[in-house]
Amino acid sequence: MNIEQIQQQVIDADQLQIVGNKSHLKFTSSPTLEMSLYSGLIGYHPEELVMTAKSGTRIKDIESILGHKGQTLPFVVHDHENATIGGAYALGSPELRDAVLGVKIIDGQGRLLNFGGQVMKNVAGYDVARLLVGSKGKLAVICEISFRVLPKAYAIHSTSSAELITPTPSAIRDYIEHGLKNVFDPNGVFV
Amino acid sequence: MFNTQQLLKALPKDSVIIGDENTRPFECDGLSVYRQKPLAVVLPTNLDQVRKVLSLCKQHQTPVVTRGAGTGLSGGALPLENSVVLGLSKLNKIKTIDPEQQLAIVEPGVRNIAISEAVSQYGLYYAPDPSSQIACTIGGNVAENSGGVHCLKYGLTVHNVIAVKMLTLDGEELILNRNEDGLGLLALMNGSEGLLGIITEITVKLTPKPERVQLVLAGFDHVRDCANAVANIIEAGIIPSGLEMMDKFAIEAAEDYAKAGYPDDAQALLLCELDGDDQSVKAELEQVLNILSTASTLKVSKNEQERLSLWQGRKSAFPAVGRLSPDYYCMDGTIPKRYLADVLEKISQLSKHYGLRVANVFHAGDGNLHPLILYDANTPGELEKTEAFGTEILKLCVDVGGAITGEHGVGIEKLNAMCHQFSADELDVFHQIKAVFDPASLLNPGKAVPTLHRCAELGSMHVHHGELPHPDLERF
Amino acid sequence: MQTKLPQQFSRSSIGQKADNILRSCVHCGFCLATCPTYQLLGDELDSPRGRIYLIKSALEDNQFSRDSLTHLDRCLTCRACETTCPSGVEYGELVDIGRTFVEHTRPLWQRVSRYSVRKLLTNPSLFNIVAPLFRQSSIQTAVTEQQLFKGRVLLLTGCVQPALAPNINHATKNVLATLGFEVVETAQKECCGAVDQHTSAPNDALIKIKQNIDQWSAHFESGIDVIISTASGCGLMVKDYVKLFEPDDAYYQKAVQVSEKTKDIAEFLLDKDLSALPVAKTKITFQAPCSLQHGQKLPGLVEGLLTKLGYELRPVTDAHLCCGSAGTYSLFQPAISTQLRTNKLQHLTQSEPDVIVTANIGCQMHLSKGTKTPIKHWIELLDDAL
Repeated sequence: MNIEQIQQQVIDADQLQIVGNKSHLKFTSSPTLEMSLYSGLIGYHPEELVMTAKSGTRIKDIESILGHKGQTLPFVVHDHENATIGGAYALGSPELRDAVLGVKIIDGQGRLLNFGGQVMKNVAGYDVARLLVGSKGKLAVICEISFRVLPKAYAIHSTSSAELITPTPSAIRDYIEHGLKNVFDPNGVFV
Repeated sequence: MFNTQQLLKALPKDSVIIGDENTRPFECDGLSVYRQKPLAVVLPTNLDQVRKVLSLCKQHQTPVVTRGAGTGLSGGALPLENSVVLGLSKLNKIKTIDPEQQLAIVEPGVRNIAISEAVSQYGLYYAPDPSSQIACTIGGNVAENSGGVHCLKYGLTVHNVIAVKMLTLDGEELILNRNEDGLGLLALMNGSEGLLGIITEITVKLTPKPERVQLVLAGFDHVRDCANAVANIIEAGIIPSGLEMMDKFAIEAAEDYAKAGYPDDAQALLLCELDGDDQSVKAELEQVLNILSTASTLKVSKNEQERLSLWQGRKSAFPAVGRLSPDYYCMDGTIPKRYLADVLEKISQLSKHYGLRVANVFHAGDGNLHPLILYDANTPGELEKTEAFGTEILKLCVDVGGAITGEHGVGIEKLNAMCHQFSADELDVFHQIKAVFDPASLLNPGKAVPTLHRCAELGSMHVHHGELPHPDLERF
Repeated sequence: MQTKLPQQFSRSSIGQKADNILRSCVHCGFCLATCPTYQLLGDELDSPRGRIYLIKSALEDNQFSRDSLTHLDRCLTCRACETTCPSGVEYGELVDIGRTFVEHTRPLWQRVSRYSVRKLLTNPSLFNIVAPLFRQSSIQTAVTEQQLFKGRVLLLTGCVQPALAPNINHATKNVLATLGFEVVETAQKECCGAVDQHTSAPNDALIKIKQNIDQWSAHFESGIDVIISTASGCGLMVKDYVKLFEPDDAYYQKAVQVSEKTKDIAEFLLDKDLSALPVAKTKITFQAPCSLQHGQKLPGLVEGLLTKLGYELRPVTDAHLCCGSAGTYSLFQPAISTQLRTNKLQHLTQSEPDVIVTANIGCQMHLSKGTKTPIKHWIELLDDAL
């Protein structure tokens, strides 16, 4: 599968469920977009502490490549066996969000968009790459992710990262979350 | 038309500044080439007053420009015509310090360094340290997602903020937390340059002071050797708490002010700071000294006083360059580190081409360049030439896979460069995000994200797959 | 910063100086952090950067009203901003130029009150009548006989100091006698000119300054080549004499000599053999006068000396901030001045010292009004121990 094919699927579909390794899949009747078919490394520069991978790449495979250079991911992903980097991104965690540097996404209108980049520091434009961490596949297709890696000695791997809390619901929060869904997926393609 | 008398009714007398004479000192921030007097400046002392100001501004469709200490370098706090500048300098209380949980809750007008000073007695500090840390406010840091020399190891502002309280233009409060499930709204607020809401309270993460800190200074005869040393240190598995580079020109300026003992014959200077427990610093120091063994000068700080004094030169480098030239223009591009030497060479060629001197100061560890272009604003045409030079540097950064700004923000200054980094579709997404938070577009409008028209006029529209986006858009 | 001063003004020597200072400011805002009034008031108009802007505006021919005058008046001229400024902006000089330039906007009643205070303070025959009401300390020790002879020095007597705290000069003479230095004193009527200079009366200041230069340089011929100041405010003014004359002025060369030969008593003692001075175990805090640390740019000098001599010197939080005295400031801006004093005394007494010491009569008088802890010039400590 390539980017153009993903774009085409999004444009053609009325509704689409984005899935990684299906570990968190809740059954719906919508057609699925199998991101595990879009996998592999795009770039890795150990001296930059940066890696870019297609979202269907398994975490296990990423860790193994990093391991050869004495580096590792700065976040923990449970259910490690087949988890993909895209799946972990969609579920979200503060540590993973910290590590994200940039994303290439396809929005609900099939537009290919780049946010952030492959550098540590980038404050040009809103931080969409970190905004979409935790978006559960409901706002956009995350195709490629650039993230920071660390030398093993610096990775403080606690087995349990902070528990995610459910924000107190409020009208303004609903309004904003609904508004953001509309920005990325105005036609409600992603379910 | 907005009647400033209404502000006077809503706020204490000494919190409202009106009239040409009194508002003029607020016509610019740390980037003084762009100037615009606001309608009024308000300096509220509590949230209630902030709400009153917002309500009046909404009622009269008056833009609001939020300002911290006004130390920003991209014109983010530049007033707009007929706008109200909402200065948060009087909201400067540290509300809570929790040494146990290593956090502090502060108002937006608290100065960055004041947090570290206040928590120092608990063996803690606030890690992000922009060069202006003695003056800049934490609210401004969040708005810009400020970095600093320590962010290579300890992260940017976004990594060190646990929660923020913010107000929408309607005065509604939104509490955003780092650990909440769902979208990264807190991350979105970091670096939003005052376009999405008014930040009214910030919970920051505090970091334990390291057991041992040591600074290594290395002087090099060639810039490329210095750049290679940077890559070698990182590749060796070391993340210094600071890894800073300066070129000859910047070294001279900094030394002139700080008398820090920088070598005056070096072409490039590297400051590499290691921190942590006693043993790890000792081991890393040995490794680093090994890597730097080819340097022409090599010095290790022997005590805290010497370490701070060595940093003093670097931290004052920007304004210290002010001694060499009436004005300077500070760039903030980022690049993948492997292009460091190439980009510097290219900048030096451009410098000759434009006939303008450049001093280079940068956060080498994270590829964040700060070329300072020296010019004289009183010489006609020189500013324009400087801006053209600056734009070329930023394009160069984007072309090698970097960004136009690493920590100073886009503000008013880098709007044109944004057209180079982002496609029309991407800019469109930014505009829509703003509209979600601020449908009336009254919060710092016109900053940070250029209009599509602007980019089209500029003719440097980002090109995707060989096609111009929005072909329907009229191009001038 | 870009400037657009009117051509006629920028051609004058004052205009040229102002333009150079303004151009050296890069508007970075670092100075806000260490400005005492900005810390209290949180308004940029009460910060160095704000005031620089107001002055720039006034000089550029824009309007300047009493509002702005208030903001300039609130400046303590402590020059903490100069210590902080990485661009080397000479704020103190600029604010003097600015103040003189806008003095005409001052309301009449203020002019009258400022004039009276100025005249009272700079005229010993008037001041000595009221001084006993405010006297801080009288002479407390016997006169020390000089045993050896190492040299002669000229001591700036000062105008208000001998009336308010005569023990300071007395102690200085004793300490110098112990070390083998003979002291020649200037006359009390020879005020350094600081009061006039900082209350926008530079012409009156210049008259005094020229007289002083003439009187003092006469001593150089008799082999004296050090002028010692025991009040850092006066010392700073004298060191700045040279800045008040153009190189082609007849007084320029003499001013250079006077300025160069003037030393704070601590500076003078720095390279001397102090082994003749007994050590006292006194727990002290030091109030660093702005005129010493920011004006004369001698931070840590007295602290180092006292520590070397064996005094138990306790650290003071925010030692860089002004105590609120600032010459005539405490008279004209009582609210801010009192607040600054309260803050300063809290920091000075936190460690419960036996004595607070300082190096300037202004600070000493001002602080003593707010605490029961004894406040002295540090040289008095040395004399007490003799």
